[in-house]
Amino acid sequence: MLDENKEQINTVHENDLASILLKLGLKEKIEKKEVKCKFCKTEISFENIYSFLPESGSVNIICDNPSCIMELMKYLSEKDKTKSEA
Amino acid sequence: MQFLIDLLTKLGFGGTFISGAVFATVVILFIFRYPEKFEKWLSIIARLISKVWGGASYFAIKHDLQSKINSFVKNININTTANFPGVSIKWSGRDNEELIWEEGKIVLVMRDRNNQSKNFVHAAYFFTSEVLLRKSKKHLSRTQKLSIDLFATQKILEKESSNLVEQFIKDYFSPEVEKSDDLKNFIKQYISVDKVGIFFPILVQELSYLGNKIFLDKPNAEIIEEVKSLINFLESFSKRNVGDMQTQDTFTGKYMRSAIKIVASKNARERGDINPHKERVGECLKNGFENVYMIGSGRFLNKIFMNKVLDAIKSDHPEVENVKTYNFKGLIYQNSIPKKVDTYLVHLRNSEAVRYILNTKDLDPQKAC
Repeated sequence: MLDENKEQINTVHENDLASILLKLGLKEKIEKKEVKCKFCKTEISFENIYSFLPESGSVNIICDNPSCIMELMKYLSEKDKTKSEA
Repeated sequence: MQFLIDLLTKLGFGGTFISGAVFATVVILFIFRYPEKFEKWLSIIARLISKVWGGASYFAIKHDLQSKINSFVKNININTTANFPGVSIKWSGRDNEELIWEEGKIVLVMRDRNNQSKNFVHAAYFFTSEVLLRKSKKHLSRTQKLSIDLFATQKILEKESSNLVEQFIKDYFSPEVEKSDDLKNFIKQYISVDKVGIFFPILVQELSYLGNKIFLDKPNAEIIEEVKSLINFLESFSKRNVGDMQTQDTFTGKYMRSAIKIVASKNARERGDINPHKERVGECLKNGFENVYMIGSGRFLNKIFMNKVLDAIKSDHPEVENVKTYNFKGLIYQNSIPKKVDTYLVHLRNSEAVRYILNTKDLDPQKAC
């Protein structure tokens, strides 16, 4: 399989989470339990982050609850559909 | 190879050198032939090293996920004419590097070596949802898209481990399926279609072609209905009994135009009479069908017969391309009893009938064949 026919999946390793959250200005907020999941509004901790979603200049966090992961995929495909229809 | 080794030994070259050269050649050939398997081995070695050096964990996770997903993609590309993209894992924010994240693009968090299963389930579901059939999914309903994502993810996972499938079914599949009867029905239909062996070579193939088309007047609701009809057609075809001449073998769509023709009549084969089959397929091609799939027994004599039919069709219709042939174990029903048999499938593409930019008003009513 040639490299040019590959889609990139952006990932972060959990070992880098602390420094990334610090750069995003979210580390302290998470420690103070002030950050919520975009979908279920559960408190975000270092252990339950599934993904980051940069949107409108800020970064949303989605927790690893399977229903939130499903919700995220539906949300992304709706956005994709709206973009293609525009 | 043995001859070469013997010759070099007789000429006085040392055994160590030859063994090393042979070993290196075998490794290089293996890497070219099976890049995903090589990547998998690298990830296993890196996982062992990561127990003493944490830095190897990045390498292990990246190559473990890439090898598993790309091996699935390779398999779909073998089973369709499409060229689906694989995946490449890119680490972000490593060693305090600057974060450059694209608007609206998600960034997944990968856990350490004790959570390999979780990483894989997350990456596999992300892949089917965001990468596989991405262009086609714009034309599908939410339930159609979700059902394909769930079914394809389960197919990726089942290749690796039954524990992963169980976990995925418990956490993702069941909660969604329990919420929607429509979703449940689609999954049931995919299972039937997959058992016959035509989920990827026909259904995914047709959806892939659909994704390459541009509809100027966006007839979304009509396309959703047509995809539903295609799935119903394939399901009904997959359940037919051997010898059943009543079940429809042609899908007449406005946006997707395909027909499945069975070429397996014992009487015609024994007579060596290819004309009835040639005419049935030729009729579809004349009537503007984009894809015709000829399916029949994969037994030696039937394959020879099908290839004769194929040659005759190509001679009458030089515009038609035999894009792919498949040999697989498919399910047939004899008096409603399922039986696994060797199956041969030929995919013909009618290049003169294919249109990529479509305005619904310009589409002629589809003739049957």
